[in-house]
Amino acid sequence: MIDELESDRPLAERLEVARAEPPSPEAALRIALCAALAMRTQEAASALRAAADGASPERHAAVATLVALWSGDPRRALVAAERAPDHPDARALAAEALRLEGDHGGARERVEGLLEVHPFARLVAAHTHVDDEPARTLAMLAGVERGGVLGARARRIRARAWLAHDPPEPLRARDELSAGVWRLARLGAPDELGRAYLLMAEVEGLIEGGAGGSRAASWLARAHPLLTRTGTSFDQALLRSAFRRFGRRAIDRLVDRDLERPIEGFRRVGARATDLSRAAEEAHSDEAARRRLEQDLRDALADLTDQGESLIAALEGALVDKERTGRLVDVVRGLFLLAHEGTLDHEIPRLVLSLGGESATLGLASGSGWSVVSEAGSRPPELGALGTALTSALADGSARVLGTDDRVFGVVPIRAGDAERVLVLRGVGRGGRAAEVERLQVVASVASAAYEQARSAEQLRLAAARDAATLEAIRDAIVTLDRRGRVRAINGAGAALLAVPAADAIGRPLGELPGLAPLAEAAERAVDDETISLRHVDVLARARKFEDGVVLTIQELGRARQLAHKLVGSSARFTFEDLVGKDSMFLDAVADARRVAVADVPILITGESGTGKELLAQAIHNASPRAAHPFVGVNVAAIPRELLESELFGYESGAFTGARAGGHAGRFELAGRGTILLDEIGDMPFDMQAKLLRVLQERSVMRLGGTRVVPVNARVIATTHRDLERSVEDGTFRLDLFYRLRVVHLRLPALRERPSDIALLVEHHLARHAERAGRAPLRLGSRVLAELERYRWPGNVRELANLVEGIASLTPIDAEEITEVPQVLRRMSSRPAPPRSVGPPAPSAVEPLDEVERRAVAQALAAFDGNVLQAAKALGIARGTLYRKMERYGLKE
Amino acid sequence: MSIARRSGELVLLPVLDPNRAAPFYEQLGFRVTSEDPEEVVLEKPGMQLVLERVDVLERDDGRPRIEIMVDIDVLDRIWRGDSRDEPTLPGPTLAPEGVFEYRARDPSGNRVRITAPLPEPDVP
Repeated sequence: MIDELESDRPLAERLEVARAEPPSPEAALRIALCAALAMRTQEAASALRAAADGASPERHAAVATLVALWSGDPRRALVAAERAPDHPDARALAAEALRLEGDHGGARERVEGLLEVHPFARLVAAHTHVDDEPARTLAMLAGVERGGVLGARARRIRARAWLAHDPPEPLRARDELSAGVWRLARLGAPDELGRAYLLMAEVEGLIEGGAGGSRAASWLARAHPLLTRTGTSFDQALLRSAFRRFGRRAIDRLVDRDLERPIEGFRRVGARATDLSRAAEEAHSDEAARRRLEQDLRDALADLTDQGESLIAALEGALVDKERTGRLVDVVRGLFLLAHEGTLDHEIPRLVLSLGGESATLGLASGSGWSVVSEAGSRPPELGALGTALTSALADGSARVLGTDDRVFGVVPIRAGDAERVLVLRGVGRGGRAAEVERLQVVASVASAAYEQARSAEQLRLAAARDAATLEAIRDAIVTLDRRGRVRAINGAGAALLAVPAADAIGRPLGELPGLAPLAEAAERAVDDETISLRHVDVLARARKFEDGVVLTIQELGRARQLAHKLVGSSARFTFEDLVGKDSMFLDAVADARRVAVADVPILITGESGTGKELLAQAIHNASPRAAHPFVGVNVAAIPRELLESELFGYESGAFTGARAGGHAGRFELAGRGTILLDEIGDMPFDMQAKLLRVLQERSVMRLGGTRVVPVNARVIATTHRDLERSVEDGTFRLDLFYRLRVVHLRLPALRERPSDIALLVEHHLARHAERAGRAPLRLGSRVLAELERYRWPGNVRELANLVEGIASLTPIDAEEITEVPQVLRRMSSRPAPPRSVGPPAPSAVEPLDEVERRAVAQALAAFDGNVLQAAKALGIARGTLYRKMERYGLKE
Repeated sequence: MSIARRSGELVLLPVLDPNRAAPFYEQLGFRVTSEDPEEVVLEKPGMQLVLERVDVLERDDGRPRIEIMVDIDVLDRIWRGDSRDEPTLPGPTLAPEGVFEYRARDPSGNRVRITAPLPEPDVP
């Protein structure tokens, strides 16, 4: 992180590079860091949220500390730094937060032991001495010639030290700042540049003497736009103080410019809130849309509050002429505190009267006339006499001052939603007509915004009440947390599942509730359907982060599994404990499978028929975080080619003749967040391979005949008895699909490759049989075992299991040992093992003519890079014939 | 005439070898519009510069003969180029009037004040 602080490369360039990187938690952290330094605080915050999943918690905490610090929020920075108390960057940044909070001793303590190794820590410590012991600051920073923001800041601190020096050395301070500003100008760090300009104003003011001259004022004018928009409240206080000393003449012009932005912001946000609240009212029949709009409305309200704070800050910045603008601050604050429409109606005339004037009347447009809502003062103005002026003011939204000197009225239009109000003040304008209009315009904008705020807040209060009722009606356990991880709401199901009374939970950090720390940690990581072990129950948790916190949906694991299996009608019964064997090759495959079960990657399992590929796939599923979700198997070879696509991806009603009314979900959809097993993938038709590849790449499917894109969240496990590499060489299996499926490759050995396991497997299956048949376990005579070990087992473990079951069933119920080699085994054992690659193929190895032709066509096309003419020539058929065959075999890709 | 004269946007600058001096000014954003052994004429928006050949330059009084304003990136490039030969060379400084300033010499030895205005950073 210090590298970024020390780099001289322009921040905009660095940000561009970081944005162009492939998305990853590390890239998101880099974006957060550069955006924060460039004062793009919103982008920084959003990148930080994006990095929450997957980034190292300590590094994330350190970057979060910097982002909070650069956003002018040292307290939030301290909270973030708590998450990485030993991380040097987080410690140094936390020290800076303490310094900004005025705790210089705490800051120095925080960086103890870091001064020699961490340049930012040294900088912070030096900064804490700048006012009291400037010589010490200079000594600490002597020879610290570093680049970037850090180097520029070191220069600025040295400049301050030279100013605090006895006697002050403004020329040396100017040299330091000069070098710092040069660096910052290239970097594009507006806040730091603003601070340097401000200090330069002080330096020039000191050089020019007295109240400063034009140079000091011109530096202030440069600092002003930067610090009012990117500086902290402390910077702005310094700016105001400097203006009072050096730039009185410049201030009015700047203040006017400052007010324009928040007032325009009010108009914009107010109009948006109006639109949103209207749309939310109209969207009552569409629950999803209404919720979206309500969330937008919350955002708009937060914006409105921000705009209010900006306006107050801007007005406070203008406090040089306290008489002119001072009371306006109180009025603005007052308006924002009145959170109800009725209170606003009642209080506005009285509140605004504090700005000056004799009396005030608030009117509401009704039909073609006006009704008086409330009045204040001794002789409130009558609205009827000013009718046209009021309508015009409302029409253009501008405040105005009417009448002559002895009878002056101020007219303030207030528009919020569909309601049109107007406030008329008698006896305003003593401070100059233009200045009065400006003040009244501020009142108009703020009052409109305050009404909008009240309306929106009321709407959200109603929504919250409805949400609380909805929450109770949900069967799953729901817990909502605020940004600090404190419980904001918990429904009855949640309280019951987590064994915590709602009244005890609300307001407390989830992690502090007995036994719920793992759940709090899961919420922090924004888990997506992860199994969490609590003290009393295993749960499946899903956390969704939103602007104000996290919503946790929690299900009891057993119930979640039952539900998933009930819905899909498919389940994985086997676990790793069901895999029997001690052969090292077999154990290696199982160990690899255990390792990758928790990693969410596609797996290819190969092995001859009967080696237990599906069993291994089920065991992987059951050991994975997806265990509570469905396990859906599809035997690709068993489904007719024409039905495979609809079976995998589903169809909408009417997609084809015979399609079920209402449509049908495909296996990918049914698998949901579970596992889909593509059994015998090597037999998938070539054209389907392209479709499958697209689904795996885009992680979404569209049902046949449908238009809606359904996200694919299932993990894919594919199995095959074929040699897929060979199939790729033959051109019957796509190379790209092969690589996508074979992220992890597990190969199960054939039974003949692990003869030492035969006795174990026989014993296992005999025990199972005995249990099912309710008899004493049988033993296998040594002669019989020797026969079994001699046999080649072309059908592998499946064949062995069937054989054992058969022998056991034929053995008399009172027998304890199988001593006779059964007839069937003798026949099989006496049959010589089929020679490999010699002689005629076994009947099962004979391929249908269609398949041979299909492969020939595919090979030809692959050999000529899809050039149909050349492929046709090579095959010795006409181009048209080749096209027909491509169509027939689904090779038109 | 041995010192630079300003005539509106026209500057006449005496140099020992106009063709040798021209590239220096080209890196400051000028473009050569005509050249002969006695005189090279260069232009940049708002300014025309004529490099006149003289046998002897007037005595150096320590003041710059010409001031040229460039943008900050050009200034940075020139300074970095110079500091490659002389690593301890001080960088551009901030002049009291609010511009960056860097003093260089052209191939004839004329002192040149190169300035760059303060950038207006992109404030989000």
